[in-house]
Amino acid sequence: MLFKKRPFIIIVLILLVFTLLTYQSLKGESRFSNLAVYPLSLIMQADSAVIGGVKNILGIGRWSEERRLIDKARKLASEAGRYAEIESENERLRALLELKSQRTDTVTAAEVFARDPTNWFQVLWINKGLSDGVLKDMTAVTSAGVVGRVYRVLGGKSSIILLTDVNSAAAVKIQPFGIDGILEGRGIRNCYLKYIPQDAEIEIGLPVVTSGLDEIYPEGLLIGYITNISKKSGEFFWEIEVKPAQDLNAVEEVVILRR
Amino acid sequence: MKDVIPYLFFALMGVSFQATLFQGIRPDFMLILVCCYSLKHGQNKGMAYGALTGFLIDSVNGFILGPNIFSKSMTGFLVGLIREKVFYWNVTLNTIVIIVLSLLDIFVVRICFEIFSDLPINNTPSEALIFQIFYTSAFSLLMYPIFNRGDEGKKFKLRGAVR
Repeated sequence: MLFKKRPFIIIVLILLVFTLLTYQSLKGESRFSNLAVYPLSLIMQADSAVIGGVKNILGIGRWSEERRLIDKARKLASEAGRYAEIESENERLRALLELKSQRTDTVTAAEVFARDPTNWFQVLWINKGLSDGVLKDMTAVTSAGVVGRVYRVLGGKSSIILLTDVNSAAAVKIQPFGIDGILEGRGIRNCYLKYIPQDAEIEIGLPVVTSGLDEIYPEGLLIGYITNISKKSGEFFWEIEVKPAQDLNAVEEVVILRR
Repeated sequence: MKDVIPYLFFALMGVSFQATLFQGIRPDFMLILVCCYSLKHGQNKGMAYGALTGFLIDSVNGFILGPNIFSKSMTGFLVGLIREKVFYWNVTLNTIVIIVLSLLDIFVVRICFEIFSDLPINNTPSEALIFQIFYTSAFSLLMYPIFNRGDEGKKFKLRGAVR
């Protein structure tokens, strides 16, 4: 019956959406969005585990000797692939353990199980949350460098906003000269480094580290390296592109650091 | 009700796969799903389904609730309209509709964020969005035989359609 009344549905839907949007723009973050995240995150975690498993599984059938040998070869190849995967996982975990033992400000290590489903944001979901001591604006790092900061914390899950996200900014300095600037995400693989005056002597390949001035990212963490420098006429500052040291599309585990 | 349950399952799985399967730029599965649902069940149910899928997407990205609810229900509405006004649905129309709806979806989401939030979403590179449209239309072609099984070339209700 309800579905028969088209104008009613359209009006109700538009009113509902605009009320919701206006409420959020006035009151800030809404808690309604957490309603669907709990069941969805469970599905996403299950999917993530299944996808990881499927990578190593190949078809099985035993109709002939030839088929049996093919199967065996496939199994061996699959096992070799699995061992390579385990080896690389071991390496990553060893590096994370080293990082955890080197630093005194670590909170926990976490596994990435999902990413933002749209292309608007660069967000990761990890399997640790409030119950593990994770709080908003804590820093997520790997042994290679900074990944981003904790944006949203739920009971046992949190989301991390990556350095490359358009909403992300960090106070950084170019080493070894210590020139301060602001790093902003571009929504793709690289970031922009802003407010570096054109009289500063910089070159491609120099490392960029956090300066700690934003009071979010701890000082001295490697962010990435300068990959491109350009100059626009009439501008006071260099246009600098920075490639994160950690490939942010390939993050599987992170360590969370205290603010 | 029986029709809704599989699509509800598809919506949950769609959001989940979009979040777990892809690294980098990803297609908009939800848009394809809303199109399929709206084509099969009409404008009103299509809009409601669009609102539901939009709610799921907005919930996961966790910034503001609403932009995707609005854009996806609009997708359901428009596809329902096409279903009533256009009497053939084929691969070409499918591709054109998906491209146009993707563009519209991007436009609506951007406008909503621009008006109702402080997020600098305008800085999102257009190349990511162009690739998203390309991938979405490619995936819609892959999904076409599955979701439109038996519908190709079939006449829809000819309410107001011009032959």
